[in-house]
Amino acid sequence: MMTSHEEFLDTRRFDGTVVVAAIVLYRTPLDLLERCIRSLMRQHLSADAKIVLAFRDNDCGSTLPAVAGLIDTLGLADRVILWDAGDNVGFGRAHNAIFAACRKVMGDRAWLHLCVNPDSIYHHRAVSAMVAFAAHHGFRGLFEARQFPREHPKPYDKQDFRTNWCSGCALLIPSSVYAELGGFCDDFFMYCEDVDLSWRTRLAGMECRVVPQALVQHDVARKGRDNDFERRHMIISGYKLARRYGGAKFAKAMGDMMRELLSPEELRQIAAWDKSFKPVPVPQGCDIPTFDHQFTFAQARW
Amino acid sequence: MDTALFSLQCQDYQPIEVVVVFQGVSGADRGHLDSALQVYRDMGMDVRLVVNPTDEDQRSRNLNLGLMAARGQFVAFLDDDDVVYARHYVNLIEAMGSDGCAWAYANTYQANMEFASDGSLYVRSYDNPFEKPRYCFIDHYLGNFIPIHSFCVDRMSEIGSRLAFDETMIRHEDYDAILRLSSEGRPAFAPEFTCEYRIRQDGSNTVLAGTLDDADLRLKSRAWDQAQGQLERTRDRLNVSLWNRDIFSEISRLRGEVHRLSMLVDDPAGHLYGVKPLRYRLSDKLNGAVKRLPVAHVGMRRLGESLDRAVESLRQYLRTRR
Repeated sequence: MMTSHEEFLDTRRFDGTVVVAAIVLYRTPLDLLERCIRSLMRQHLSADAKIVLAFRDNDCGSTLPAVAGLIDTLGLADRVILWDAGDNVGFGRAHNAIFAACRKVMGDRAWLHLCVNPDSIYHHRAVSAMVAFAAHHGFRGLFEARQFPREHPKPYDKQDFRTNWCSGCALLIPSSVYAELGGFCDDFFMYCEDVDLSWRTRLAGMECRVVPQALVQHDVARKGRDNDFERRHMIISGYKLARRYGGAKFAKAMGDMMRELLSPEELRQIAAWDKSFKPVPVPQGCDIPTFDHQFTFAQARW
Repeated sequence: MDTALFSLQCQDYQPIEVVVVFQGVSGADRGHLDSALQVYRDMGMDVRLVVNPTDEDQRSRNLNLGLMAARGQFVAFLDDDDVVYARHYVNLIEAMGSDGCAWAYANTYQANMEFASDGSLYVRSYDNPFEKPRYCFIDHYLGNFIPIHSFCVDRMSEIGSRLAFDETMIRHEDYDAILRLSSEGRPAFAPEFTCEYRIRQDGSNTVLAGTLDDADLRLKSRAWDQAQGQLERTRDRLNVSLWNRDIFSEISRLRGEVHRLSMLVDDPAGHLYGVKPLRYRLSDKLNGAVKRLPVAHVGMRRLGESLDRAVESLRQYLRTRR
C-alpha cells in the first residue's frame, strides 16, 4: 500500500522535476515556519514540477508535534516525505541527514534539494525560476536565490550570474551534484559550510550561480538572535575553512580570536580537530579559495 | 512593482490593505496591471485598484486618491519601485505608540541599482544620505531626509487627519505635505534602517541621477526648479512653533560645528578632513554654519513672540479675574 506522499509522487503518473524543500528546525517559532511553508505552497510551478517537504528537527523532535499539527491544518500531509529528528548537529550535517533519508524515499529518481531557511519567505515565482535556471545550466552546479530585500554583499556577474560562492540560505542543489560532492562537510556546525561546498563545486569544474529572478525574503537582523553564540561559531568555522584550504594568515587571525572567546574545553576540541582534519587539495595558482575579504570571501559590493 | 508588492506581503504587520493607484488612459496597461494584482489577490492580499485616467504627471492627485480610498487607521505610501523591510510598519507603529506621536518615520537606505543582462535589477551599492541621529525640525526645514515610504501616519489623530498633498505640485509634494505635518506635530523616530529608496542608474527615475539625455535632463531640472519655488512659498506660509528640543538640537549641532572647526585649525596637514586646502575647508564650514543661522534666529524670534503673546493672554486673564 502506498503512503500519501508516494501517491503524490507516483512515478506512473508523474515523471517531472521534484523539488525537496529541506527544512532544518531548531526551536523555530511556528508563526515564522507557517509563513515559510505557505510561501512554498503558493509557488507558481509548471505542470512538470512538484514541491515536497522534508523536515529535520535538530532539537530531538521537540518541535515536530506542533509542526505536524500545522501541516495538518494546512492540509499538506501528502506533501511531507520526511520527518526526521536528532541532536543539534548543525546546518550542514542536518541537510546531509535529510539528503540520505530522501535517497531511500526517492529511489532512482533524481531530484533537486532546496535548502530552505525556516524564517524565509519565497516569492511565488522563486522556485520555478530556480528550476528553470538550473535546467538551463544542465543541472550542474549550485544555484542560489537572491536574498530580499537586502542582498548578500558578495557580487555576482551581471551577464552570466556566476558568483564566488553560494549562500546556504536558499540554495538549490541537484541530487547528482549533492552525491558527487558528498554533501556538506561534517566539520562545520554553522557558517562557512556553504562556502566550503561552493569552493569544492568550483574545484570540481562546476559553477556557482545566483538566480536573479528568484527572490527569497530573509531578515538577518530579526530580533531574538544570540549574537555572541553566532559570532563564536562564525570564528570557529572561519578557522576550519582557512585550515582546510591553506589560508594560513586568516587561520592565524581566527585562532587569535578563538583564544579570547572560547573556553578551554572548546579549544581542546579544536586542537583535536586540527590533528585529524583533511585538507582540500587546491591546485597551484588556483584562485578559487580566497581569504582576502574577511567573511564575505569575495570583494564586497558595499 | 512586483518587488514592492512582495515586500508588503512579507511585512510582520498584518493585515495590510493595499491601494494601487494607476495613472493612465491605456486600457492595455491597466489590464496588464490588474492581472499582475490578481496574482497577489489570489494569494490572499487585500489589493484594490484606483484609476486616475490622465496622461499628465499628477502624482499629488494620485496620492490623494490613494489616501481617500484607504480605510485603515494608519496610512503609508510606497512608490512602485521602492521596497520596505519586514519590520518597517511594526517599528513605525510601535514608535508612534511609545512616543505618543501622530506620525513616525524610519531611516532609509539609498540603493543604487543597475540592470543585469536578463532585465533584473542588480544592487551596485548602498548609501545612507538620509541618515540623522534624531529628528530636528530645523534640519527638516532645510532639506528633506524623510522619503515618502519611510513614514506612516495615524489618521485617527487630529494632526494625521489633515494629511493631504498639494495637487499643484508635481515634485517635492511629499516633502511639502510632511513639512506642514511636522509644523503641527513632530514625528516619532524609529532609527533602524527599514526601507530602501531605489535609484536606477539608467536615469529612469524622476531623480536627476544617471540621466544622460540633455533634453530629458532639462525637462527634469525645470520640474524640480518649479517645485522648489512652490516649496519656498509653503515655507513662507508655515506657522512654526519651535520646541525646546529643536532649539537644543540646533545648539548642539552648532557646538559640533564649532568643535569641528577648531579641529580643522589644529589639523593644518588635513589628516582628519582630507587634502583640501585649509582655507577652503574653513570657508566651506563657515558658509554652511552661517547659512543656517537665520533659520535658527527666525525660529528663536518666533518662539519669543509666542511667549510674549502667552504672557499677555495670561495677564489679561488675571485682570478679568480681579
